[in-house]
Amino acid sequence: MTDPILELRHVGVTLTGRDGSVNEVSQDVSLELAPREFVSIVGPSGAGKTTLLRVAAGLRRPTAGEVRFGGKPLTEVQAGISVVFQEYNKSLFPWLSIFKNVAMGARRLPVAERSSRVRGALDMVGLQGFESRYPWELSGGMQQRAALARALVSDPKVLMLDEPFASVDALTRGLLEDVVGDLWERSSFAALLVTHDVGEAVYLSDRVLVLSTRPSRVLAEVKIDLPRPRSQGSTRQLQRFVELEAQVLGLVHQAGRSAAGERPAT
Amino acid sequence: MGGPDKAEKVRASSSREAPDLVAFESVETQVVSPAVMGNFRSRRNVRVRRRLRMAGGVVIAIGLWELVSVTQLVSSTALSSVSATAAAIGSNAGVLFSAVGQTLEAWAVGLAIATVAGVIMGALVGRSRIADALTETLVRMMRPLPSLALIPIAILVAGLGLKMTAGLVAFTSFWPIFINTRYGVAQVERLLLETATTLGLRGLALIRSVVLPAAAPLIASGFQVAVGLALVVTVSVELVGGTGGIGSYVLAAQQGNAVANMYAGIVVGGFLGWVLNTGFAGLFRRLLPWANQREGSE
Repeated sequence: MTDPILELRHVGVTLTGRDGSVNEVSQDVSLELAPREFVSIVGPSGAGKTTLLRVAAGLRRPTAGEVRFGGKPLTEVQAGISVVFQEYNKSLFPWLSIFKNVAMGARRLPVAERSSRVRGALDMVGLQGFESRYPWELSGGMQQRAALARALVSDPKVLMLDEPFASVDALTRGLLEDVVGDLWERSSFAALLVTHDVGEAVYLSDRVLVLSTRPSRVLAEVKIDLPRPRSQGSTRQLQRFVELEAQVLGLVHQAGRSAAGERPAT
Repeated sequence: MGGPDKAEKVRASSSREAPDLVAFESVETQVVSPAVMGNFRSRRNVRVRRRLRMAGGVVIAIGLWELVSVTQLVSSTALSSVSATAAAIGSNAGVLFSAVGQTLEAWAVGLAIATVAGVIMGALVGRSRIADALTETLVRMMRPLPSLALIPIAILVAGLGLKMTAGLVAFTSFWPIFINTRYGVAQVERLLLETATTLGLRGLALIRSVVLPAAAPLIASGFQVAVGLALVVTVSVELVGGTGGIGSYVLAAQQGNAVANMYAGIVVGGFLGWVLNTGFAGLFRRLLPWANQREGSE
């Protein structure tokens, strides 16, 4: 097996509030992401999925364990990792046109290449013709496409997606899932998706990791052996898809239930 | 989940400062209701009707002025008629023009200093908890100081003249710019900053390319308050110190019993304020089109 591009080794996160309260969000989470692999993290709400993603992206330091990216310890944000957040309306820059927003993602590229790369990224997500528009002039789905273009313009090794489609309607969500799926098939990045939508996780991923409630650990790993390329119309009809979705859903519910009672043995 | 909760908390703690600032909307004189926004034609009609009414208000005020002066409700030694005032503006156009020039000079120099200092210090204090705590009490003590009470100090330091006037203008107009910048910079969305960080922005580039633009709507509304404040202080200092400009013109006219000239100066000063306010409001509407856009549709 190839070396993982991203690795979380026994990562623990404990938040300390200003009032001194201590909140153990994650406890001993380990995961590996192979190059070009698509992995999703699901879990009951409050499992600290978003916090874990922030740690994996280098936005937050873990209180225990370590994150490794490309075989080296990751201690801060680094080129090669792109992040798309749920709240596109707060992560796009409203004073910049769509073109310039995406160009912000191309800052690390040679100047001569930037324009053509930005144009290429906008084409990939289907936003050609909207270069000079402003984010607030576009629908939520289109804004998230712009955020995706900005994340991918730098040709990252890892794309992290934090509940990227939670703020759009169901139809748009399906379309965006396919945009991400297609881009992933055509490009060379590995993807780490945090979502509470089990169907979405199963639909897009190679593997789905189920987290427990706080303090979270990886409860289970489910391999998704669905054929690729996938499409909303056919893949979700497959008997295997329905089985896998039910299996993961069952694990998430089990994780949620155990929150109230005793912890399951690992 | 931890993330959003914390962001809420941060926002709640910084909104303690909220009473100090002036919302961008309140500076706008024109508020278009969302229902009207959709329909461009009716939106335009609403705007035209509003302009007409605004002009109507001015006409009514001039009419009342004329009525009060014709009926001698206020004696003619204290109030000149509209026509006499208009005539005085006409015959003193040259002098008034250069007085406006002098006033604008002190106004512009003072405001420019206040803007540079206010934005730089506001950004610094807004980004640093230590700087915020260090300056908090000082700000609360110095802000309410009436700038006119500082004239004696200013004269001692700078002597009578442009330097003194501009200095006092700078002192007064510094506060709204500083306070709005500080708040605007402190309340930039954490997500926006994190996004910028993942894109490789940090340090000065982060401040210049993300923090200041994100805070720009609030900085602009602080600046607009400062525009008016600066003019009030400029004219007041000129009036007290006799350092030239519209203020001194009005004072000299009053001392020479030239009532019509006095009112001419006042009217010109008022007009100047209107031009500056409207001009900057229009400029910021153009420069910051997203300021009144909260979020996208859908």
